[in-house]
Amino acid sequence: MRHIFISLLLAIPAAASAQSGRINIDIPPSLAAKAAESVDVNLDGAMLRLAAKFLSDDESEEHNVREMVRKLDGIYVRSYEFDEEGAYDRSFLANIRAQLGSDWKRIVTVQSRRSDNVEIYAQPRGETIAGLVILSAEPRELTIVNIVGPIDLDKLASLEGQFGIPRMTRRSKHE
Amino acid sequence: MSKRLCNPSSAASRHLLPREKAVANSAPSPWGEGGAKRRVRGGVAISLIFFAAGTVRADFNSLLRVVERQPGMHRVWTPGISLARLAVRIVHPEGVHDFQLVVFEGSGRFDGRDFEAILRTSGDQPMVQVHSKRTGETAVIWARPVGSDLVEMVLLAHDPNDNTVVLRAVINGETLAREISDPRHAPQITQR
Repeated sequence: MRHIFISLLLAIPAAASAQSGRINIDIPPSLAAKAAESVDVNLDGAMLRLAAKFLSDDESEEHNVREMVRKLDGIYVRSYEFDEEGAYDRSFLANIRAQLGSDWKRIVTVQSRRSDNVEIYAQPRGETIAGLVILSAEPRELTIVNIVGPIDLDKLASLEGQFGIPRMTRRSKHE
Repeated sequence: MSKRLCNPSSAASRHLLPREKAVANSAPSPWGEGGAKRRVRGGVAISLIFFAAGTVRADFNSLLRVVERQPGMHRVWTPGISLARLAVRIVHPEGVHDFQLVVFEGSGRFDGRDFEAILRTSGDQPMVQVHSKRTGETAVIWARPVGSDLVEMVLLAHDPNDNTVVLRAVINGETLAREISDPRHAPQITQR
């Protein structure tokens, strides 16, 4: 009974943070130590607004990003590259999925045994999205992105390549 | 004000020699107690300000010591940097309110754990941390808001084949972004 009570107490903050769109995306230090390349980006609301100030208000692309970022509560990115295939246990991703409550919807799934697996989860709230989680697991690469706050899906693509968020769409040859 | 005017000891002290003045001032007076308290409070406040300023500087210095402790790394003295810092603190060019810049030479690997441990105690937040075991490159940016417009950033960029740079800057992001994006300033920035 005591254990159940303690587990419930521990689960409440995790559930509360998942409801707000924020989840814990930190990978175990032992796994992070194996990575040959690692990128950690932590931008909470205050830091995002400050980072947004570095974006120009004049250029249309940067203006879109700036407008979107102003409303966000956080962008968190963890990206790891390993020297060998299978250096990380994909079951780790189950811990992240477990944090996503019933109010999270999986909107994109790409599965492949050989190459990358991508899952995108969104937390709808009314007509907008309150949070987004992107899990990208390649044999040698693991990327987890958590965007917290009201997200305009039309403008979401403008965040590609900004704040450590990897590019998801392929660029045309002319670009 | 009336207390000061009616204070007989202060009126009399105007006609005393310096030595006598000191003796007269040291004598207990019914009005001196509040002044003494104020002086003590003022002294404590000034000490606290100096202590706080010293702590901030000590933080940056302890960061530098961590880099200096890395094998094969030594500090490069940049002439005139203190003068440049003073000028920046007065003029605030392009939204930069203060900066401290130190360059290190050396081709060793950098272990950033101690560096980040110090930053963790300073109230700064990690914004970006990039580490590469393959190339040995490390880039770390920690920041914290200072007031509503300013941000204090600590940046470390280490490349085993190049210099290591540690920078602390207090900047107004909006002004800096505006200056950088201004097409009139672009050629100057590129030249730098």
